[in-house]
Amino acid sequence: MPRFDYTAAIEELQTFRTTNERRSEYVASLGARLIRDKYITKLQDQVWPLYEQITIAALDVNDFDLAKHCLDQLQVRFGDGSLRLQRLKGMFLEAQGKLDEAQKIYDNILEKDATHLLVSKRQIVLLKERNKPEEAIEAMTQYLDTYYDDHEGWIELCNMYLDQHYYEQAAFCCEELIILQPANHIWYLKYAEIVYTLGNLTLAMKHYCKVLELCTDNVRALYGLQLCASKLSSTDHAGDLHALATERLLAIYSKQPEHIRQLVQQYLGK
Amino acid sequence: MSITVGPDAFSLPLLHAAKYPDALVCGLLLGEVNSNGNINVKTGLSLFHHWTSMTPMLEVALQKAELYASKKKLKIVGWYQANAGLKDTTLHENVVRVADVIRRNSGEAVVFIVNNEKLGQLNDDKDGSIILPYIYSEGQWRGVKQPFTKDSKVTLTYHETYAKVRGMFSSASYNRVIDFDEHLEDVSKDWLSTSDL
Repeated sequence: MPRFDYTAAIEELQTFRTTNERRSEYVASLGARLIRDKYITKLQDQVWPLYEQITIAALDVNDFDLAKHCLDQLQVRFGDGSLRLQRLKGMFLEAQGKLDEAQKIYDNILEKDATHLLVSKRQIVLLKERNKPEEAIEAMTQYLDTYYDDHEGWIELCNMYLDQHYYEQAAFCCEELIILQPANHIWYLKYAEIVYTLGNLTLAMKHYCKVLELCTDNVRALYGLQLCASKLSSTDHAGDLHALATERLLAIYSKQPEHIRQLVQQYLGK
Repeated sequence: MSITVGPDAFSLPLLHAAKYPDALVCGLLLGEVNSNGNINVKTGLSLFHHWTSMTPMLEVALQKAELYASKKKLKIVGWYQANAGLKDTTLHENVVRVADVIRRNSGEAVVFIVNNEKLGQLNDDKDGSIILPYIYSEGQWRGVKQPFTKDSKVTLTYHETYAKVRGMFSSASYNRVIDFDEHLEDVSKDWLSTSDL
């Protein structure tokens, strides 16, 4: 049985901290292994963000023992004065469904530091957890009035609007994201899909084209472009764009197994 | 109207939900409708785990699914969904709309809503209400009471279905579910291969 590669595990966990992916089952199991094999005690200051990361992953998979163990280590090191630790304790209570107690902790933190962004956001999440989507939207909107360049906030607000099927408001959020990150093709893609849903095929088509400028051969955009162009056959360029999207999709699928290629060819009418 | 459900069709919504525990997941149910209007749900296709409120990729997926189903001599006979909220077992408005379209195209349809809370009780629960079926009758989609019990309108075709599902969860087979969203990010991932799980 191959030896567990501790260094690789640490590096992988570090990568997840940077990319912010939510791979909680995996992170919790890696973390538990590092702790169980006492490898974690060999790290020096690197260990503290790691404990924080494992805590959050553990809460996501309902492993309260693991989360408590990590919180205990953080408590010894940072004590009651640490607002960062208090926030984690709040999240622990949230995961247990003790929303009122979590609320108290967050209120306390915001009293000491009214600009604590992460905790302001947890307050908003509590509203979601209490099944109050309208209030959550209201709170998120107010938050963004102040912190208007918090792109994570705009993403969250966009999704909250989409959950309630407020497509026009969701589209507005995408517009803000496009302004904040004009080189990120994802925002144009999301915008295209939202306006398509609203029935504005011309605008959707324009944005699908923009996605492809920024991200060559983006498959989702190609399918979207092909779909729009096929419905807008009377518009200028629609015919050309339809042909382009079809050609690119066929090229992309040319290396795939027969049964997949055939289905795509059938779908594209080729 | 009676509905029989094969093990693949029963397990797919649960596995898909388990792969993305924090998200709404949805997909199609494939099977046959006989001359009496009874449905045999044989398998499914996983569709989405994000951007689920938007329609373009749904249109693409539905068209492709129809082509695929007809090649396999099957029809699209239903929709499945696991809502994002733990306790949310409601039929969302857009699900009703898709289900209506499916019903018009195939003659009959069924909707499976995953009872998320029961996903954690796979060992105890024998009555199968981990999936809540909805069928259309008298102008409305209505939940079927006591599904998957002996005299229910909705029954399992394979008596070991539950054990099979437990086995798949123990081996974390849910990580192998590939939905249309994943396929769009990497076309080498085959979203049509779910029956090989």
